[in-house]
Amino acid sequence: MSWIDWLEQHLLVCPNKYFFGLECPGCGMQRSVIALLKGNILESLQLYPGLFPIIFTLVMLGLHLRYQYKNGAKILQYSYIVSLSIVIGSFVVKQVHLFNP
Amino acid sequence: MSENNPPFPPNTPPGGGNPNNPYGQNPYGQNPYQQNPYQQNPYQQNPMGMQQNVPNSTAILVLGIVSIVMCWCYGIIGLGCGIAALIMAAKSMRAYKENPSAYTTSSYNNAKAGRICAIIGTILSGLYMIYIIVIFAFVGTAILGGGLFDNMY
Repeated sequence: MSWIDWLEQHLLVCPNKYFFGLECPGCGMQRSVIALLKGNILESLQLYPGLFPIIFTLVMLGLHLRYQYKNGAKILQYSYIVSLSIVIGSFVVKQVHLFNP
Repeated sequence: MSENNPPFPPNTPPGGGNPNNPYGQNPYGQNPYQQNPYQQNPYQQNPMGMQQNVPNSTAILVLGIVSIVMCWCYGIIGLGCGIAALIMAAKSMRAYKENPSAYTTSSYNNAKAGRICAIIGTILSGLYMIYIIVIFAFVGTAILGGGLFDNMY
């Protein structure tokens, strides 16, 4: 478990948030990964809902490149679209407070 | 292919040395230029037998997909990956269209899916970059002018 603590203490700072105080679409992903590594699936989902589809897409990409599934390309394409939709949706929801303070 | 039939006369040293091959063995006997490198060209040889992958199909797929993870970088990396994938995909699609039977269908599907992912990623990265530029402009205005819309009129 020590390396998870080490990771938690060495998170990269988002330049966007650091300079302008605005979150970017990737903000929360590192915290979400840490939460997932610790086993807190719900917390991980709350921090970054797009993490699971992204992990699925990347794992699927690796498997598809290794084993060349028949419908792998289609699955990858659709999971990419789903992941991006979730990421953009959560980003928009996070940004709404900017426009009606 | 053999030493009996060299492609050109044995090399004579410029100083006029021994023309009878002082190295014992003709070093040019296994000249790679003698073999025709185009013999295994899929455009000429049995299109039904050996099919090859569409060029760069894997790279197109990977670059198209990797751009989501890179969204924290103002869209720059996403835009770069997407455009690179689009350029490679355009070339590969052209090669496939010229001779569809020479390439495997699975790699063509990979390239097609990667191209769609790259199109989406490029558009979104571009939109995000525009959004960031607008935010930069507003933040700069706010810092310089003291208020967002103070000096507008």
